[in-house]
Amino acid sequence: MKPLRENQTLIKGKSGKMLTDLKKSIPLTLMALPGILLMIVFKYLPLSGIILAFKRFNVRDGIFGSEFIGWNNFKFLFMSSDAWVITRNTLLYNLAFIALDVILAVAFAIILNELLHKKRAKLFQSIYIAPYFLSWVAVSFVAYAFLSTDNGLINRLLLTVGEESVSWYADSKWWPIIIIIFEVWKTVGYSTVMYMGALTGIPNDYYEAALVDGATKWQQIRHITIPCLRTMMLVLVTLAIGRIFFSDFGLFYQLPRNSGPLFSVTNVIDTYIYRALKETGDIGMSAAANLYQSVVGFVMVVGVNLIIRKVDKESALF
Amino acid sequence: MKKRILSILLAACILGTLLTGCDRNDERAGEVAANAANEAGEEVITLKWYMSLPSVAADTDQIIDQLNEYTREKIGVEIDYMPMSDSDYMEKMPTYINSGENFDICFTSNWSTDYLQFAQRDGFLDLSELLPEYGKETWEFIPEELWKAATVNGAIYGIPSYKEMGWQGGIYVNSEMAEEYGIDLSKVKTLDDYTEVLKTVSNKAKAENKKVIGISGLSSPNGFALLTPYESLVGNGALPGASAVAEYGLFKDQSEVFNQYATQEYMDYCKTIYEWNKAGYLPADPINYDQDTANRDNDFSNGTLFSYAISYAPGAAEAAVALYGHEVTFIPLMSPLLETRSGLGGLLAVSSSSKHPQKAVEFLNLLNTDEYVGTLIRHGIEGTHHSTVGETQVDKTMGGTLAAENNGYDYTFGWQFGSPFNQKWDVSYPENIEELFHEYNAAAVSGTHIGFTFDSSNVNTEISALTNIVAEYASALETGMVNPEEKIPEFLDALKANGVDSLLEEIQAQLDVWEAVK
Repeated sequence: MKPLRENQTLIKGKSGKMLTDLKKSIPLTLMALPGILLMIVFKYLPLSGIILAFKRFNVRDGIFGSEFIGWNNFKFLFMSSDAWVITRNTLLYNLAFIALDVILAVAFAIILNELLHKKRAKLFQSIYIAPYFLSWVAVSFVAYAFLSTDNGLINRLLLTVGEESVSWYADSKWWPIIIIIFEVWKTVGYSTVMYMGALTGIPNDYYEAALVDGATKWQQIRHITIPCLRTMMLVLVTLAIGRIFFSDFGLFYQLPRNSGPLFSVTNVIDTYIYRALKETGDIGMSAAANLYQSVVGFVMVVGVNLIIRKVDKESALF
Repeated sequence: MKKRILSILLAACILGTLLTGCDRNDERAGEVAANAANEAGEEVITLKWYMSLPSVAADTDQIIDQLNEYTREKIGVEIDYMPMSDSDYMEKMPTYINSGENFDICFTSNWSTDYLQFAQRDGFLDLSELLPEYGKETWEFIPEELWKAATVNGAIYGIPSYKEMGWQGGIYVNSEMAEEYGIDLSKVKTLDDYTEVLKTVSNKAKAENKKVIGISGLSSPNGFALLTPYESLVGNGALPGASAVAEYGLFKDQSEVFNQYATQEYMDYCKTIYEWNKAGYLPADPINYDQDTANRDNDFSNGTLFSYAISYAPGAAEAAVALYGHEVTFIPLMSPLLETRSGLGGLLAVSSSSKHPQKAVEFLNLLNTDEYVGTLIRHGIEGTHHSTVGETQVDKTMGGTLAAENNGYDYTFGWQFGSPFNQKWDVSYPENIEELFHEYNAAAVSGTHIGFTFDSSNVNTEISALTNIVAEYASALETGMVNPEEKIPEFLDALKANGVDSLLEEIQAQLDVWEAVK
């Protein structure tokens, strides 16, 4: 008898606690409910559409009724003799972008932060971020004005200094540099603003203490600013790595103006998929391509996060 | 506990969507039945029509109101019109169809919202039984070759636009400049003859210290495919898979199905253009130049561009005078060729989700054969958008009182709406335009495989990879940007590595089946 009674009180006690817990959290749960529902409807339910990647889609049969064809839709990504080129291009460009973005954005953020004239800092900040809002189509025309063979600004300059003009859209050797310059020009302002936000969060006391100890500006940056920005840097890099198998379609398609001779250095996974499926319009294959990109991205994020956790648990994303 | 409830909920939701997904077909069958009952009561039915146009005219609503008045009385139909610009349509319409959106009629073709793909994927309804009954006039009016071209696996999924039958590659020339430079265009019969013309233009222009571009418009698929005719068996001139047409005397030593890029003709063509490019007859960035047609038109108007390659339709050169402000001559480099894909330049299809397929066909019949409807939808309302000239013509400038930019409804190219033969013509076309069309159609050479449509679903993987390879090499080679002796072998290796042989084998296999059935 006795043990049973003990057990009963235990149960009662536990459920009682749960009940009060629930009571307390009802308002909060209710507040979260719309958000959770939206998440479910727009983020989780559509996940069932992943099944499209394994189907030969037929309009009348719909997504679930279409014929199941296993891994066939994935073949085109790996069968092509270009598979290596597009993978290399996608990964190397993204690595370059991630590295340059962190280095330059942090540098710009610190420089702007050090500017005493705040109005001027704001002005520069606005100038840096402006390109972020341009579309690649517009940028591609600006680039064309520079690079056009007969009327381009750069070729005109080359001619005036007595050099041969360059056929930019036919000569692939310049494009890795051109692409990196444009990408950095376009996105660095946005990351700069994020880092500037993080900078304002660093307590002034640190710098005052450093000043008392006689630290130079450079030493302050090295030993206070950068360590304080580290978490932010790691978060942004981890997120960027999650997208390492996606590439900015506009950048790689519009900027080189879809020029065939440049494909060896401008064909990336997204442009390949676009060209591949423009003809056949097969949505099963496009679903397969996207699933592949997402899975690789997911693995990369979890992997990188694991490494960061090993090195420094505090800075890990999750 | 909470977690479990959540997961059960989630599972229930997913299951719910799965079930509704499966259910949809039965529901539709029910709806169709219910509507069939409605039709007996002669209620006015609304048809949703998605349309692709170069741009959407400002006064479209007025025209549709007037059209609805007419069709309501005549066949008990009203149109819910959804026009989009071509570029918009290309992006959106495939998604609408794929998502099972409910509509009745849509535009389809081989350059936008691919007809073959959606026909093979059940996006459109088979009209072969409805047409003879509900669209009798159209069924008889459109020539048999076009119906053949639109046939996919024995079924007809769309009504082709009956206009010029086939295509004819050639060159548009600024004839005023040609005269000024003393060039006799009538002597030009082949691409090689044209080299002399370009040389003269270049020399004379240099002497005048003017910069003149000799020729543009050669980037793939408008270069080789347009000027060295072959029958394209995959329905896309740029993809490997060609068949020779005996009348042109080209590709004589090839088998029935061949890779057009692996031919002596391709090498010769590319070499010629490579020489042209080296001599400076082409624009400095030929591929970029071809993408910007507004700039090209401007250059062609002001004499900076001497000529460009196009696919021609009768009367177009005469109508082009108004656009360019100078005389334009078309130099044909071939007789017109009628092949499967030339019947697929524009079709109107009925959706497989349509609840009123009979009414949709009745309306399409009206569009193709009723002159009032055809003229209204092409030229707008009489007295507002055009004035009538004689029996068969309209004047969209209304005797010079209405400027083109003030005209709220003006579609020069009426073929997207059906057939220009049952619409009035604008006065800028020659008066005997329909005769010209019939002459052109009579002169057309029929490809031996007309009616053969390729089902790509077994080789989608290869086509995807090959499309990338063709995009990488073809335009650069066909505009002479790279040396063909070096690049063609590279191009052919890449095609081989990406399965061109399995594509050709698949075409041959399907062709054998098709021929056996025939």
